[in-house]
Amino acid sequence: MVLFSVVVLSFAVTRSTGTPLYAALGIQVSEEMIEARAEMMGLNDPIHVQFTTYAAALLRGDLGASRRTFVPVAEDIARKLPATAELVFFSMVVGSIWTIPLGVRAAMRPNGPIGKLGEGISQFGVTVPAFWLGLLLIFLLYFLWPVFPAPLGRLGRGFDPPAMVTGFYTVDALLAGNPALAWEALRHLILPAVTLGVTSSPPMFRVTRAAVSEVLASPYVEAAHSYGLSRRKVMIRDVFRNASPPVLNLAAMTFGYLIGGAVLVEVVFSWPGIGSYAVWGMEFSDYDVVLGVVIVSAAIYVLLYFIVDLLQYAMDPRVRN
Amino acid sequence: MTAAPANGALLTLSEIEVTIHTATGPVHPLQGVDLEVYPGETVGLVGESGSGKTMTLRSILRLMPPGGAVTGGAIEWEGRPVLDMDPDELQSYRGADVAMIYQNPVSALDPMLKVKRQIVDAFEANRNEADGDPEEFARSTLRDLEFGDPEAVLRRYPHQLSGGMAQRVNIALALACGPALILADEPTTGLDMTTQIRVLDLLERQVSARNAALLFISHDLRAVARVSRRIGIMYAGRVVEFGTRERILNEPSHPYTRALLECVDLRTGERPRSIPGLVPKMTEVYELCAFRDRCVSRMEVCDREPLPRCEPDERNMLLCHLGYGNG
Repeated sequence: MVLFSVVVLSFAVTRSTGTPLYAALGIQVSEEMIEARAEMMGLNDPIHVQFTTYAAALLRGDLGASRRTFVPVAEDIARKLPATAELVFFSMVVGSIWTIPLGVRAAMRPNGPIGKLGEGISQFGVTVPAFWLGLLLIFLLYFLWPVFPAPLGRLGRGFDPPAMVTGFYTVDALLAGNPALAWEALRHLILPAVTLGVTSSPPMFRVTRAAVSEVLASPYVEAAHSYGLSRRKVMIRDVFRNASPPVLNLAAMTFGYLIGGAVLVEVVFSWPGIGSYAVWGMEFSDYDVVLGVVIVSAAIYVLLYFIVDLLQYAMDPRVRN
Repeated sequence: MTAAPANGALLTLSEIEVTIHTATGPVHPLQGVDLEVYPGETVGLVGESGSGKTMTLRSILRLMPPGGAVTGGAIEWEGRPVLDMDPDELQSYRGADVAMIYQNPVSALDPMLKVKRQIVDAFEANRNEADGDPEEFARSTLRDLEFGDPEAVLRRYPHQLSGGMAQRVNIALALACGPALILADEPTTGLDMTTQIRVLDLLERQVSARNAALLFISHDLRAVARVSRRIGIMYAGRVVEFGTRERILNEPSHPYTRALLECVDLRTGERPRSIPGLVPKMTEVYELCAFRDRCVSRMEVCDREPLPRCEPDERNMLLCHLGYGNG
């Protein structure tokens, strides 16, 4: 149902903006050539016929092809999705590393310095635009002080991608027994992952803090202390367990959002993911490319929701009843 | 454990004051609570909501709400000062010496954990191997608490229990700690009348079978009278009268105790009447008697002098200018 409305909406939006004909033919063309090409591509059909044709192909798993390169969109996405997934995964790692410990600490000591630090990072993260932070990091850590490699994709010049297993270069390089290549892939990941991690994680900090402080104030935590359980045991047994569902939920939502929402960061770092691919498609009204990316990211989002529901079911006995 | 104090009391509270700092200013829920509990006895505390009953229990375990602290007085457990305990001492005092049963039985249980895990953890935190197998203890205790199928209850989560069942599980949790004193915070409030009586009787029976003492609080004088050998009456953060059940019920000395008894006719159990006037605000500290605005026996001295403390023997106490024998 969700996916169907995504397909309808994005179909309508892409069709209403521009035409792919010039992209396919160039600009030095006659009226007749345009007309013939439009007929061939089915662009003269009524919109509902065009939609039915597209939807029928979609049901067969056919996302169409780029009007510029004629490469099937499904193939392009399969090749580029791992790049985005790896970037998003690492930015989630960056986000979790600071939000969870600081959020817990902020809940335990609301006025302590660590809580204030977390609030500060959180404010910075929501305020600063991702592309700007990306450019700033490139300027500081590549241009002024070259700690990290040039922001031009997943690997530097002279490195060949590892044999595809998971699609994560860091993991595949290690599987291929090539730690130098894994290190190279990691070096290229750090700046974009930090950019995306810092700008997407502030809600995680707030949700962690809110969930933990709610549980800390609950009668069952006081009761657990009154039975003489150690503070450590109460934290692990009662507090973390009860505070984790909302945090996990938000983490999955953030992950799903970033798969389709990492566009600006991918462009800034020339990251060959599906975000860059969608932008590349948009520049020439390459309908199927844009639609394909939107539909695939929506599908991933829906799938993640489903997985989170399963996890909640496994974790929380109240959901099971 | 350690050498008991001269009077043999298990727990002594003297002049306990608690202050809570809130966004709207400080609140003083306890303004000098005096209380003693002797080994194996059952003590009841009665008072209206806001009189400081729950806060008294929480101060005994040093479990203060955020912004709250014990700001005066002393608490002694078998002669040891509770307020001076370090975190390790406090942890071993909680549970093993004093355990608490909470007012809202379902929310006092961790919703994510099965009953078995909660009882076993409470047992293991306070006992050693010589005390037997924790699961066997859990089963036999639930059987003592009249659960027909203890095994099935152990496998349940808190939300699968009724209020009465959850409260009996809370009693089992407190018993699992093996304490010498059990604090019960209105343990029957949310239950229906027949369940209330059943839970109270079970609690009393299990506590006395284990030779433990019970400090039981309730706004319901009938419930307190049912289980307690001695009764304390709380008003505005102080215990204003303390005595044996017979003395409190038959010869009450404090005008507030008398008013409370008139509210509830113990024989007929009629619909309670209320005491005229308002419960005092706990944002103020009361140097004089806090009840005098509602008191039918108010005298000129009540507006002038702080409350005198009459203590004819170590089991009776009265805070009132009237003194004993003026009924």
